[in-house]
Amino acid sequence: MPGFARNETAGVILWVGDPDCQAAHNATLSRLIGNCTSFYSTPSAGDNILKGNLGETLTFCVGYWYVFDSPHVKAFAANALNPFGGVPKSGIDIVWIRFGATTADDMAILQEVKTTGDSTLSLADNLISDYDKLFETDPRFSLQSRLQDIKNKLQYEHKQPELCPRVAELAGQSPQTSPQVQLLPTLVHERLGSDPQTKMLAIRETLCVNGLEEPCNPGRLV
Amino acid sequence: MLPGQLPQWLDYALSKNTAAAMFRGLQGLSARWGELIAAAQAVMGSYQELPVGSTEQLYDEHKALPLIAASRILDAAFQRPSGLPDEDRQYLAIGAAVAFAMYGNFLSATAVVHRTLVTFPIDSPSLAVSIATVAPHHLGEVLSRCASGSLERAYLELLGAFLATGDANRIEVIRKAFIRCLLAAPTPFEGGLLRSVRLCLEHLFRLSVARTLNEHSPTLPEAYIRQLVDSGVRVLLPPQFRAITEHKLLGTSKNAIVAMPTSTGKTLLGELWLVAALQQRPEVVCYLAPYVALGGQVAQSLKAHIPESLFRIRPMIGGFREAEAIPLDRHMEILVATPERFDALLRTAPALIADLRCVVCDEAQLVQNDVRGVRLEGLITRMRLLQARGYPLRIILFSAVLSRYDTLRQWIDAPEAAVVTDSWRPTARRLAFWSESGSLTWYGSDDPIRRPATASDSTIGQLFLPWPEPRFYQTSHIGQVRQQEPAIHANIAYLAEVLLQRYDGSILCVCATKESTRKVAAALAKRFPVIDPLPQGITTTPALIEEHHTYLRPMCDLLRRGVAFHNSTVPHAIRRSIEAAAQKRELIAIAATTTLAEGVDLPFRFTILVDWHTWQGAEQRPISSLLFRNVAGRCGRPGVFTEGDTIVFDNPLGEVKYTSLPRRAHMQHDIFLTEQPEELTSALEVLNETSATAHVEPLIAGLASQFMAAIPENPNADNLVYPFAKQTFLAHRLGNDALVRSKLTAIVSDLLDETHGALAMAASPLQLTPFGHAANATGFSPQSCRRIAAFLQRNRVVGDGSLTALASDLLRELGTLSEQTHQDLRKVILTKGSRFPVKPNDFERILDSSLGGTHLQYIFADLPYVLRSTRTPRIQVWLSGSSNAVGWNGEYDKFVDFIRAVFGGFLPWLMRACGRLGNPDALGSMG
Repeated sequence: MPGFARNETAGVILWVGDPDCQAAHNATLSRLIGNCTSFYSTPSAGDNILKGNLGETLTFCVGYWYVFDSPHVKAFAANALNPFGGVPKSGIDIVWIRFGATTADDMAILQEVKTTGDSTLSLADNLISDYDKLFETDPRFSLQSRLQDIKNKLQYEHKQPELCPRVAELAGQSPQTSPQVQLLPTLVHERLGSDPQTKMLAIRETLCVNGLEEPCNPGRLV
Repeated sequence: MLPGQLPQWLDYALSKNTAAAMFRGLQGLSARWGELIAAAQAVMGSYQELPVGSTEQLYDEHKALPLIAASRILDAAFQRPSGLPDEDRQYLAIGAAVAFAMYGNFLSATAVVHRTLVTFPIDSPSLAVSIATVAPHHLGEVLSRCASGSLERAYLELLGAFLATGDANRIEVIRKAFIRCLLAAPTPFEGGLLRSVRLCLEHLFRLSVARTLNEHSPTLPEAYIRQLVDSGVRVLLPPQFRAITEHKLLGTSKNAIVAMPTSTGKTLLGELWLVAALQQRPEVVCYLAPYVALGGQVAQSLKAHIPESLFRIRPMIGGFREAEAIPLDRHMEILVATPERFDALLRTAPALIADLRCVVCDEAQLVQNDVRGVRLEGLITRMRLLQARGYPLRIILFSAVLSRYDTLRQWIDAPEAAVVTDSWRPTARRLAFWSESGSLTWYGSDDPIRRPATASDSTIGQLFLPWPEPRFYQTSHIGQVRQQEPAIHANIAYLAEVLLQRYDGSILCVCATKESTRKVAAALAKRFPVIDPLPQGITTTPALIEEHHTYLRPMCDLLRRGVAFHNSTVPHAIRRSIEAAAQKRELIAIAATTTLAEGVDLPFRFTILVDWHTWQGAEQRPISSLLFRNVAGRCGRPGVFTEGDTIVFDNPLGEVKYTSLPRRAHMQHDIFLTEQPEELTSALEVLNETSATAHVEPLIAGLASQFMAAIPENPNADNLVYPFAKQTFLAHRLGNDALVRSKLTAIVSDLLDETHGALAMAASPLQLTPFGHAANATGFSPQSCRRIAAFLQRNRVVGDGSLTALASDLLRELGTLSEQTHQDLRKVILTKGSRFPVKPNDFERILDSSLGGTHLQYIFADLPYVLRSTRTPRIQVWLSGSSNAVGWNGEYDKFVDFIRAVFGGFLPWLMRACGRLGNPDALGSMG
């Protein structure tokens, strides 16, 4: 699959256009044209919602093409599959669930995505609060709420209700009791002049300090 | 889905206890609220997968325990004391409501929604769907939040129609409409929530009143079911559903026992049984309610549910009084009667017995209560005899406090399947002790959610809350007790203030005496500021006081601070006004005797047991565990609250043999924390004792009266002593009928004794003489009837011939009859130097004034004893409502008690008896 190349440093994976950015753009655009129900083609300047949604789309494409493309994995995206929808949906940006041979092999990967053109990459810090909410007191953003919604999709859209109990078993009441849930904090950014590895290492460090499971290496998952 | 299938990491009992402890700010258990909320959501997530066909499993409390725990965690989290952000709490409230409804607890779900709806922005139709499904009471209100033609509105309209009709053909359509709403949920939270609500919807399908009654009781009139549903009774509680569908009690004629906790819907079950028993013919059924307030509530509820054209509701509440004619030619009658009135009805309108189909006896545990207990036991024994003779009469016993019922079941011969016991309750009941050491400790008590190896006396946590007035000494000296009482009341007031500051909600302080209610209320008022503006409901009471009862002016000051006292001395109109204000939750705290606690159902969040001793006759004894259960059941009214806390104040004052340490702790443990409350006894069991003759006499008299009533009811019984004795509860309790047979044999001898007029003839079977028939209609015992008749024979013309002169003479002569239970009347009749304010010479004047419409306080103030008294300030000062004249209150309490018991209860009964026994046929047959 053309478009992106992988480069890993200290556990942080950097995906870059291959052979260049235009290749990545072309591949993503091709997918959008083929799959989006609505195509909003005249974005206004400073449309952060659209920018964020397109970041999620890019992330989804990379994940789907290079990491999670497996019959055992199901993807649940908030906006990635419909970036021009206009009204952004809350929730974890992308959840990948791998259903293993047994329930013990099941795994959920929660991918929160931030998209920024600012070379300081400071927006990435918001990933921390996004993940912190998973076990905080607002039920709208809790991990349990989000997984319960996924069960609806499995039952009524994927027509696989038998998988629902397995989703219910994935999450605990804290990061420590949720070993089958892993985080995949993701930053979509302007490459020139930025230092994404340092930033993402800092993010990971903070998440670990906050008790959240060390972000996974998605390359090992499928 | 059973608890064992939940994730291994989940200790729901620990999480629930931790949430309860954190909500109350207790030392001990602690966790992050986020973790507790996640645990609750995980439980909900697990139960979301419950197959549709298994929904009813959750009506077994044991199988719903994790969900109950989850709902309580979210319930604690959403309330102010959790300290969580307001916005989080709003969404947690919706989660709590859904969790409650997930196990069919729509009452608590409604309570949460009711509290939340005021501030919660239902900004999405999806949330409207959730709210209306878990709290159908609010369906109409929520419907307006959904746009016309929307998916959500379509679903809600379908749901409303189903609840109104119970039409099972609509279910699949509703399910599909609901799934459309679920898939359109705008956020993952709402989608996840609706997945839980899906289970709640299945409960609605099952618990629908209309559907359940249509399918399980086809004999119930359609018009009745329609009005019941239209009046707002649309969803059954799970115990009601089980009683109808599992025990199939509406389809059988067997006797039954319903031993379910307070507020689990026994009254509605009773109503259904009564209506089902009527079978569309002119017949009679009866709901026996031992308290006037309870009888009033039941009658009111029946009138709201039952079309006038269908049945006639006839309240018969109060003491022994002959029945008005009940024409059965056209109407089916539902009586709501006290046992006394029902007894009178059976004696004076015996033809009715053949048409009697069902008797529901509420608060059946009262068989152990002294003279009233003997009457109730006698009534049920008589009905058992009728059943033995083939009368198609059904007996159903209700009790909220029984946990052991084997003997009771054997007594009425109810099959095992007809015993409905259910520990399911809509609200959590918490029990705490505030000990002298300053520890306010919450216990597991009878909470079904327990961690392994814990018991009812295991602690949940404690709060260090030192008594502001800590120094007490044990004493039996009444003066020294009195001297220490203000400190007790100050402690109670402090506790009430702390509870209100920390947790919100209204408080009921249960006191042993009327005096205590006033003093506790006064102490409470010192802790609370004046409410400005005063709510409308409260303003009514001061107006009434100013109009007719100025001596109660001190209460106006209390009312301005949201406090009141409530006891039987307080005039009826004032009490009703206070109850109405409490009903609207305008009052912060009420100090009341157990009369209020046993009677009407008012919305209190907390009950503080001020005195754990009660006066039983002249003796102070610890409260019985059965009475305590009843009192504790007063807080946490379902539909308003989701939990109720009873706090026992470790009152160190009282009878030294109970209050001395460490005995006090042992006593309290046995009463309040016992796993198995005391077994139900018969009031007649004291007949086994050789002592206490004076106490036994009224009980024997009651038994004799009941036996006499059974004679004409069993005209063909060869030796009535044997079947009667065999059918008593006492015989079942003791395992043999020897004791009661020996007492009945003596009673028969007495009935046959011709020395002072025989009441029965020794024919086989036993028959009443004309005098006996007249005596039976009075409800008095044979011995008492003889004394009344003798009086009438001696005094054909009494005094100046006026009614009040006759009444006074009657009291003077017959005030010592066994049926007259007011001990002070006996004293003033038998003792010249009695210190009681009413003397025999006052009777006539009191009666004249009372019949002339004079208010009781003025009659009291005009008593010679009062006018002669050297007490300061003078009685006129008290009448004007001065707060420094409260010394008169105690005397006035005694006076009012006397008037109510003697002039309001005993005298009318006695005079009616005179009417019966004064009949020339009756007197002539005495010989």
